[in-house]
Amino acid sequence: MSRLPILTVSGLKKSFGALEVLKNVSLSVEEGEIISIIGPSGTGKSTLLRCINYLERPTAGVIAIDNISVDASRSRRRDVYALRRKAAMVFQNYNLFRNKTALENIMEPMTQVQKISCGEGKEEAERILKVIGLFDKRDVYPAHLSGGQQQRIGIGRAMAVRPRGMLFDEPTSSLDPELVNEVLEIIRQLASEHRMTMLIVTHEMRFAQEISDRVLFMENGGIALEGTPQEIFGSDNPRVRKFVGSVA
Amino acid sequence: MDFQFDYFLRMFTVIFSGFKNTVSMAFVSLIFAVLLGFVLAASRYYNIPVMKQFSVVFTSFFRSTPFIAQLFVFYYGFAQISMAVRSLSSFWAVVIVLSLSFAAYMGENIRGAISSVDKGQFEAGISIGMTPWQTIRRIVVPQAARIAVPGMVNSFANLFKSTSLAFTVGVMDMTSCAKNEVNLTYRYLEGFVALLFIYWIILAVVSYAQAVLERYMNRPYAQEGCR
Repeated sequence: MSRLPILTVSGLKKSFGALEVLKNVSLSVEEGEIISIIGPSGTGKSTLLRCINYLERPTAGVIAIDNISVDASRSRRRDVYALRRKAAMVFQNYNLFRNKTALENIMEPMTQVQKISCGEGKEEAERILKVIGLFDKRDVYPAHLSGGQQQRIGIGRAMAVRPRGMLFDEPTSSLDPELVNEVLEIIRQLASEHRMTMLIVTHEMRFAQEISDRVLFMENGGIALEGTPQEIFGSDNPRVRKFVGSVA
Repeated sequence: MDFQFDYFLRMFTVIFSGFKNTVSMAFVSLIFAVLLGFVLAASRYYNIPVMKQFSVVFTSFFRSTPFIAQLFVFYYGFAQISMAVRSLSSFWAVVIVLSLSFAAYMGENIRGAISSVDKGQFEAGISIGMTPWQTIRRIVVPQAARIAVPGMVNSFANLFKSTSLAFTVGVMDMTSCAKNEVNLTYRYLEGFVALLFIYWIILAVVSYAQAVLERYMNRPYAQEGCR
């Protein structure tokens, strides 16, 4: 288990005005590791992921993925772009490009960012569509897809980034209950077949317990407790017990 | 007095001799107004210092003063103090004032459209590694365009009709042609009704083009049968 970390976060702080959302968070993730982040609302779980993808500029701290390291105090634009290419985000509200078809959404990171030729990008996007089971929807626009289908395309687009790690920001929270499973199934598949490194912010406790190598319990802008799923979900810590009991 | 139908029909050819001036004033002004409108909208939306304040004052001024007064100040007023304006043709004077005046409206149409695009679209773009400019060009602007079209065509209709005020500074547009003709014959009803019809027909064609364009642009979003 002593492989080199693929993603490290050190001394991460983020404030919105006077509100301190993240207070000195540090984290190290190994290649292929699957980490679930749980905890009450407003404790900075999403902000942590968004800072890792630099959708929010941290107030302080260093984010490093692979060989790219960005220090908030002296971040250069080029490094930020490079960092974003190392991780891919799956959003709660899918955020598919509404003016592009399913296929075009998945091609976009390849043809626009990686500068792969259109033909090659299309081939790869079609392969991804087959993996997520939506090949028949290739020419359909997001407005004509169900929430579950949109989120699967969202995951497909994230795969097309060819990231070293994937960041899931409550990927099933906007979905109708009967659509949750099809999305979780794809995430499971990514975990088992591709050993993709993943950080998953979720309220699906059973899923987190089953899929994770490690679970982080966040509270008040920091990591209050971390451990294996057994340690966290079997914990005697009254705060964790109360939280897990309230959402399960 | 009767309505002379023959004369009414003949007026169409008379008025048509001003068609080229009217249409070219309208379309040249449209292009400048849209370009300047983009700058005004972007300055405000992206909070660019100084440019933003300029945009606010500019928009307020041009939306709150009558076009004809703006034209007179520019064409007659500035001629008093500026050699450049004095040597300017009346055609270009009208184009300049129309462009400035309608840039204010276009800018507001564009700004409204850009802010209607969900912020998540921009975030998704930069999150997959695109640059902000790439994201604006490929994702935000195409989605905003669809929202902006109805308002922009509306402003264009107003711009087009405002070209009729060019007769006040001596441009031979359609309105001037009609006016000069009926001043000789005193057949105001036939002449001006014909003029109205021509404006109406031209803008009806523009509206039709708008409908076609909107149908095309709404394709990705229309809920046809759904899922």
